[in-house]
This record gives sequence, structure tokens and C-alpha cells, in this order.
Amino acid sequence: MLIKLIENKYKVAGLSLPLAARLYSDGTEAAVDRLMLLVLALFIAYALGAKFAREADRPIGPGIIPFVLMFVVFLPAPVSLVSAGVAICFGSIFGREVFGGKPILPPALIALAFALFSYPDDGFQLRHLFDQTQDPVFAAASLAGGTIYLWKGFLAWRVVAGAALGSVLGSQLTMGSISWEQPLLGTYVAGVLFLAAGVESAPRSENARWLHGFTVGMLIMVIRSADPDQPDGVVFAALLGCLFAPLLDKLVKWRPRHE
Amino acid sequence: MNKLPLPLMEPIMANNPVTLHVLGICSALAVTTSVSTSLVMSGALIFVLTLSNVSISLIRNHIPPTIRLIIQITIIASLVIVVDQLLQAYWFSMSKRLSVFVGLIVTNCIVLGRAEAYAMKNPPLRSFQDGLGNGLGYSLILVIVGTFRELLGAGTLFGAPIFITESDGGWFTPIGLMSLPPSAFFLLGLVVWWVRNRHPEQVEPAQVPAEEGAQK
Repeated sequence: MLIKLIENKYKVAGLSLPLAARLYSDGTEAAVDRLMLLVLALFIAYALGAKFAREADRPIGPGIIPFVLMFVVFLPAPVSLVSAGVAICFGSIFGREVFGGKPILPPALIALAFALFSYPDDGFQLRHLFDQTQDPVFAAASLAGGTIYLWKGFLAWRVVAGAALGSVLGSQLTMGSISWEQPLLGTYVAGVLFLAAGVESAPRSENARWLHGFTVGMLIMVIRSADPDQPDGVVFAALLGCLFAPLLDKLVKWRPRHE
Repeated sequence: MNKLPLPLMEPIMANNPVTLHVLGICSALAVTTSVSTSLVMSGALIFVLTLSNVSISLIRNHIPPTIRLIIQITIIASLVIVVDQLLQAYWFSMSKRLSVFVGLIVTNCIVLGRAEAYAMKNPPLRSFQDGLGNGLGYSLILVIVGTFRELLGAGTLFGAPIFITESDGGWFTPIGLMSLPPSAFFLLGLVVWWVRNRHPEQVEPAQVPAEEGAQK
């Protein structure tokens, strides 16, 4: 466990900053809840990882701690331990262990999507997002954490730039004006940086990364304005974007055949 | 157990049409939100599959090979219409819940697949056993998936509460995803996983080497 922690120290550092911002804005009681969730999630993910590794006779896959941290960072304030535990089980098995411990989509994204669709009433939906005050501290901390990721090459900057462009166009199209406070709402910054732009799940080729980011940024705005059931929209947009990543890779390589 | 004939027993576990051939999963996905719909759908499929297998097998030597698919589909469609009309006449509420999926048994790959692969080449009694066996194999998977989806998605079985949900003052939080169609795929995947763990000979060779596949 300790070895894993050191192996991923930059990822852990990058995610600790937004986590700290979350704890800061939670207040004491919710912060304790969040930390308990973190411990529970770490235990579940590690236990499942070890169990599957022993069954298949392979080493435990990397990235358990970043996975759990990412999941906890994205949780909106009040969620129950049971629902979060079920979600982390699902993300752990279907996001990591089924693929031999090497995820093809961020497992945290899968766990979050599962929670979003399974427990819409349990606080996972970030209800009343637009009534909430903006959280510039969280956004800034995510940006700082993302900088560490970028410096270490865990992030594809083209995706981030594409997402900014996509959001500008998306908000112009859906809301009629470019809304500059949108990135401060909900989990926008963290979602674009950690969920959509991670190099494991982003497309390989440069042009496809622009396209991928553009799609995700645009989708966030479309979902936010069009779907009242998903006021945040970041997780679903990132999920759709990452699923299309291999297709985008193919698409940019495709050339029409000249007769 | 060994006394039972092979065409009947084999498709239930070792050669299951759903888990081994991955046939008929379209309806497995649509009707498994509750156990009762799964059971009725299973009954309808067993009826259609057994009778179509027997009737096709009876006339198998008289079917011109060039138009055999048309004849098979005509027989299957007639049987499906019978089931559909019976349900509408005597169990209208269930017919409503199953909506188009009883009618869609016509296009169920298991029915046509068994007619073409088995009933066209085998005598009626064995075709009957094969149809019943495949129907039971399909039903087994449907009922397993339906049980889990209803239990985890609503906390009930046959509509009766098993886990008391939080909205009724209990402890259980229903897993909403289980009422949505994708969960049938996840559960089906888990069932296939479990079956292939027990029958390693069913595991298909990897199309991409594991290492390469993981990096893509």
C-alpha cells in the first residue's frame, strides 16, 4: 500500500488540493463524513483489487489511491456510506478489475456515473446547482492540482483547451450568451481536468484530443441547460466523451478515398 | 439427472443459448425488470420454441430447401400470434407490461436458430426435447437476471416487499440503475463470467493479446 502511495505521489498530490478545498467548504461535520467515506472507499477498492489480483495470479493494478481520491473529490456533500460503498464496488469491479487491473475508462468516472443513475435522490445529483453559490476555492484548487498533473504529463492539454472552446460555443448556443460563471459552478474544472483530460482515457492523436475536449465542453453546457435531472452534467458528459475517444482517434485518421 | 435425455439437459447449463451463444439477449434486456414478467416471457418462449421445433421437425422432409426460412418464420409467427392473443384475452395487464416483446419472439434468434440448426435435421421427439431444453436454458437466465433486478432495483419479489425501502421507513436504498436497461447487460455479464469460470472450455481465445488490449 505504501509503495503504491509513493509510486503515485504526484497524482495523490494533484488530487489532494481539490480534496482539501472540498473539506474546507464542507464544514466540520461534512468534512468528517467525507474523510470516513475516503477510508471506506480505500478499504473496499484495495480489498477488491487484492482479491482479484490473487484470483488471477497477477500484481495489484496501479492507481487505486488516485481512483478513490478522485471519487471522493467529486462527491457532492451529503451521501450515505452505503450508496457510496456500492458505487465504489461497482466502479472497482467494472472499471478496473474486469480489465485486469488496467482501466480503459477512469474507474472513478464509472463509479460516479453508477451513483448518479442509481441514487439520484441521495445527493449525488448536485440538485439546485444553480441556486448554489459558486465555489471559486474548489475551482482554483482543482486548477492547481491539474497543473501538477499537466507538469507530470498525466493530462492532455489539448483536451482542456478544446473543452474551453466547446463550452464557450455551447453556452452561446444553449443559453444565448457566453456565461463566464459556468466553470465555477459544480465540478466543471475538476471534471474537465481529471475525468476528461486524463491521458489514459483521452484519445491518442493530437487532433482527436481537440475534438474530444470540444465535445465534452459542449456536452456539459448542453446537459446543464437541457436536462433538469442532471444539473451538473460533468460526469455524464465526460463519460460520453471518453466512450467516444477511440472512435475519434479513428475519425481523424480517416481520409476519403480519391478515385 | 443423467437419466434425462441429452438434448434436454445440455442447453440448460453446458450449452446455454444465452450465456454461450449470447442469443436472445434483446428480450432478456427488456422484460427482466421484474420476476413475473421474466417468468411469463419465459413461458411464452418455451411454448413457441417447443411447438415450432416439433412442427418444423414433422414436416422437415417436405420443406423445399430454397424457401425453408419463409416456412419456418410462418410457423413461428403463427405460434407467437396465438400466445400474444391469449395473453391479451386472459391476462391483459401482463400483456400491457410485456408490450411488444411477446410479439418480438418472432425475431428471437434462439427460436429460428434451433429450427434451422436442430429441428430441420432431427426427428420430432428429439426436437421437442431440444426446444424444451433451450427454452428452459433461456428461462433460467431470464429469471436469474429478473430476480436480481427486481430485488436490487425495487426491493421486491413478485411485487411483494422483501427489502423495506427507505421511502417506506426501512433501510434499503433501491439501486436505480437496476431498473434501467443497461443493468441487464451488467448482470448478464456477471452470469456469463460465473458460468465460464465453472466451464473454462467455453472461454473464447483472446482476439487481442491481453497486454496490447489493455493499452489501447
